[in-house]
Amino acid sequence: MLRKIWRNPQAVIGLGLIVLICAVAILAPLLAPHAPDEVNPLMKYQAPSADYPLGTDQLGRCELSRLLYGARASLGLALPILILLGGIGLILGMMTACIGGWFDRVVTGISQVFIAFPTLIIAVAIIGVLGNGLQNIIWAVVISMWARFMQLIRTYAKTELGRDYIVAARVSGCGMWQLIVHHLIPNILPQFLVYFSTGVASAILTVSSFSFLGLGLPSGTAEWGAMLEEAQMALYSHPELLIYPGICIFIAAAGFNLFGEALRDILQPQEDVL
Amino acid sequence: MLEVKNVSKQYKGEDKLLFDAVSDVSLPMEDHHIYALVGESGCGKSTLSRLILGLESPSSGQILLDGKPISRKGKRNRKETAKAIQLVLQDGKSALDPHFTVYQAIAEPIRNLLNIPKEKERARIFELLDRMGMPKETANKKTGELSGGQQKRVGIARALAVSPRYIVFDESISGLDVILRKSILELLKRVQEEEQCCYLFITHEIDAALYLADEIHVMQNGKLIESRQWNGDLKIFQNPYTKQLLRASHLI
Amino acid sequence: MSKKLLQVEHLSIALKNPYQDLVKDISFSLEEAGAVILLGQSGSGKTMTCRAILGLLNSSAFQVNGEIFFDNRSLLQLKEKERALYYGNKIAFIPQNPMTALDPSRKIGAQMAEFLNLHQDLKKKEALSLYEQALSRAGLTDTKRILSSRPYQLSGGMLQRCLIALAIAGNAKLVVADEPTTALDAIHRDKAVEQFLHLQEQGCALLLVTHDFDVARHVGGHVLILKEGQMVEQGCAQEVLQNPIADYTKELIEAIHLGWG
Repeated sequence: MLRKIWRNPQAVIGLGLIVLICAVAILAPLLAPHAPDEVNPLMKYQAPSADYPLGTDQLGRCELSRLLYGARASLGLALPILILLGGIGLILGMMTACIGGWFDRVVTGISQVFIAFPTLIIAVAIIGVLGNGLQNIIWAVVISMWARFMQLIRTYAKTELGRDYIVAARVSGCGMWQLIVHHLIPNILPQFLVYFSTGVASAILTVSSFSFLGLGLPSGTAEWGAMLEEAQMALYSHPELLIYPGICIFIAAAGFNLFGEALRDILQPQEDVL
Repeated sequence: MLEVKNVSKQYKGEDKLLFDAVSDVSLPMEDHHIYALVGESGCGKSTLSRLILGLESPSSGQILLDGKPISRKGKRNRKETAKAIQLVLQDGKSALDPHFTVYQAIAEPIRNLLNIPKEKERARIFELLDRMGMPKETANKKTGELSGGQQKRVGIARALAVSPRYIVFDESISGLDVILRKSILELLKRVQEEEQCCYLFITHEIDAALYLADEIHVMQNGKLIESRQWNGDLKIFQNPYTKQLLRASHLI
Repeated sequence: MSKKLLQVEHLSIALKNPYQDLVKDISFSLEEAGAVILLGQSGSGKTMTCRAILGLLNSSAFQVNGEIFFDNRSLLQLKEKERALYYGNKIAFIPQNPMTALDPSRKIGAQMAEFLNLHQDLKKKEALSLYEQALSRAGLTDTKRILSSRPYQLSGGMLQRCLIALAIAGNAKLVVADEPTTALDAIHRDKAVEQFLHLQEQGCALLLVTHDFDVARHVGGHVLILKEGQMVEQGCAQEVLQNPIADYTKELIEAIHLGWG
């Protein structure tokens, strides 16, 4: 499969962008010329210079540094969110598919209530209840998106469970957990990765939306959505302060989306040529 | 003895009405014999095989193993049933997990149902491959890479791995090429003589049933309509439907 | 001497990547209202030959050499626009699994009428009535029920007859059938073959691909025994199957008879 990924231009581009964003997030302290929250009122709205490669914002903070650290904020939130979503989705999705009965009905029923609401609304409501803070953002997004992940895994699991090799495995003495670990997860994993990847993109956008709305993160945090919010006032005088974070959000989300979608194409069962 | 006693199974059809997939079927099976269940698709034979294997419960009647009804509740019960009664499915390819190697595929029933040390497991797997006429090197191949005939043989090896007393073959030779079909049937006959296990051979191909079995049962619309000890003389089949099947296969 | 409807000359097919010879130098001809049976096991090249005739081989994946003439036109050289003149029109195809060939969400009558309209300019009602007549000519009596059923409500055998009726309604001159009896039980197999013979009586030529010797015997006509892409033996069906010359044919016939005791 790795070979197929190399051959697909979209996958390579997407993967490249992902690696870029991850590298930036990890290496931000080394790459950034200044601390991201170093306020300097005398230096506000400076044009790009040797000292400040992308200039400064309305509080004299280095724009480039803030953008680089912004990658940390976005990924630092998006990845834990997806790991939690993936975990909950896999476990609940597999269990409802395998156990069936009342357990399936109850969990699916609850998930349908959650799916009825747009994710942002649920997330905003949770933040409203829990208050601001990094952990609360994570919980808010996870609670708003778990139902979709669970239903997805459940559908895939149910499809696999109908297959002959599962019957053969059951007759060979496999119990539920053996079926899940040895058969279901390996066969579902590729499709799951597709949704994991596009899910990261969604999470990045959701987190940015949050900080744009002023929810969740402490004000002044170097985060792209927050930067967008703050730059609104300077729309006409310094539009570049809106464009930079916008491009960053775009690149990050695009990278994960491109890779995820390309992965889905790669995994599509090839039309039998013969 | 494995006995199907007055078993019926009903399902809800699309029109929400109950329909009888299997109606009051009784089929006693003694060890060491080969039984054939012949019928067209939709006659209920696959449903019956699922009931015998304990994958589903009958609506009424019982499946008795050595006098005790087989139970689907409890891990130990299910394992005991699986050790005694095994299954070979129709589609050799879809009966195998494409991610597994041949070794892992045959090892699965051994690891789940038997408690034997790794060396014995290994020996058993290679012994089975040998009996199936497959070279040792196939053990490391992924099941998805094998030919149809090889996949079929791996399926049979899996069923034999735990030395079950009863093996149910659910349309196991359907759709096979003529030459492969004959070689698999010959293999099955040889294996039964060696293992002395009991076969329930379910098929719509009556000529294969007549080749393999000691006792023939004909099923139509969920009911057994004729059951005969097979002695080589086609005249013993009296039922008009059975005769129709024989005529369609150009045997009479 | 009837006119040759279909002429296949030195047909060779190879998979390009990775390179693999699939069909090597096959030649045969089919007369109007005649029957040719491609008989072989899996991997014999019979399905590939059939697909080449139906124009279903992607030129980027397959290398096709040789010639296929239908009504004196070269099928391999047909341009995109010209395909509609032959395929679905004079040449009809009955696939192995008819269920997958039809739209599961639409009624049979509607689908078939629409299909007929692709090639003949008829009002919807006319097309439906034309198809209904074809269903009766195919020997089906419950026509109203069939027209208003969806594919999954009918059996495989029944769907096959619907497709055969479509060929009749479309005035096909050649029907290509891929393993038409493989999915059917022994009892339905004979009935299915009767359907094809009936088609032949109506003036349609048959090209059947199968691995079933009984079907070949029942249909009759000209049979080609294929092995690994090559033709091993050919001739009149009754002759070849009664007195085979090639060792391979003998081996196959030997394997069919299981015997008992």
